[in-house]
Amino acid sequence: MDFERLGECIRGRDIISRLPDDILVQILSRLETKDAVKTCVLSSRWKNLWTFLYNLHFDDYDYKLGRSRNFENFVDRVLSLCQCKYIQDFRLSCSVIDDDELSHVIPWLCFAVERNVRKLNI
Amino acid sequence: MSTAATADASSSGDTTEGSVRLLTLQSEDGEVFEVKETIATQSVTIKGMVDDDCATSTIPVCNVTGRTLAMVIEWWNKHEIGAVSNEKELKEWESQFDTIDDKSDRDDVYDLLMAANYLNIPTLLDCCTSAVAEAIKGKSTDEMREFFDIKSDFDEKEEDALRKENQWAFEN
Repeated sequence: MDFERLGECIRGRDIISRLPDDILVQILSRLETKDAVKTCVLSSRWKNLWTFLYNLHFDDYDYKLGRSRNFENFVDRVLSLCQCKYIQDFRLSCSVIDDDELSHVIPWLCFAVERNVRKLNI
Repeated sequence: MSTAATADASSSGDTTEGSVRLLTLQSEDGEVFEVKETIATQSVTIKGMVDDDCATSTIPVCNVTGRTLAMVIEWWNKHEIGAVSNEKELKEWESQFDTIDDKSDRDDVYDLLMAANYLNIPTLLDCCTSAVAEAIKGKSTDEMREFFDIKSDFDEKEEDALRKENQWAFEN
């Protein structure tokens, strides 16, 4: 990480970026996961914060058109980079119309269980 | 003698009021507040100090101004058991903290977040993180940068790469 650039970014009026990591992660964990991940482009301070999310909420809004490969890739990516060992709330809303789609969903649920999920909503 | 429920931040004098012990808190800018121990121990940090018998002299509350500390004490007073008659009334009162309409609200919430974090007050932390999350919802990247005064330190190429890596999040 380029600390000089990061320093420049967090000086001045950008107070939110100066909040401690655990507060920012608490804020992001209150959002839909896609909205939390979108903050990665704000600045380098935000780039990896979403990887510490402890609530994961995935909703494939366009599921009636068939599940998009992008949605699958997104969930796969988020789970593979997730650094939280204890997931509090895992919510998943998507279609499962055939074995192929099911074969994707099962590892996601296994992930949640392995990460000690406390609340599972499918 | 006033009851425990009526003591507030402006109480002064003895370190006890009736049988209620008062703690002295001092803000970063030197303002001094006397607060009932039963109220101030909503802060996990202060409770730890009381339990360890370390709250006998003035407790410095670093990085928290008098203005913010007064708001925190107001929060404690409202959240003391029996202070409000029902949950609905409490939620209505809390609603002044849980929405961020402009940058002035935003700065108040930042101050409260820092105080809630330092003093470890779970209820206040929950309320303020929820307020910031609500303010993020529905905003585009540029709108978020504008509202929160975040200056990007990415060049165009880096930002494009990040958008590509997380494509689904940005196309929905």
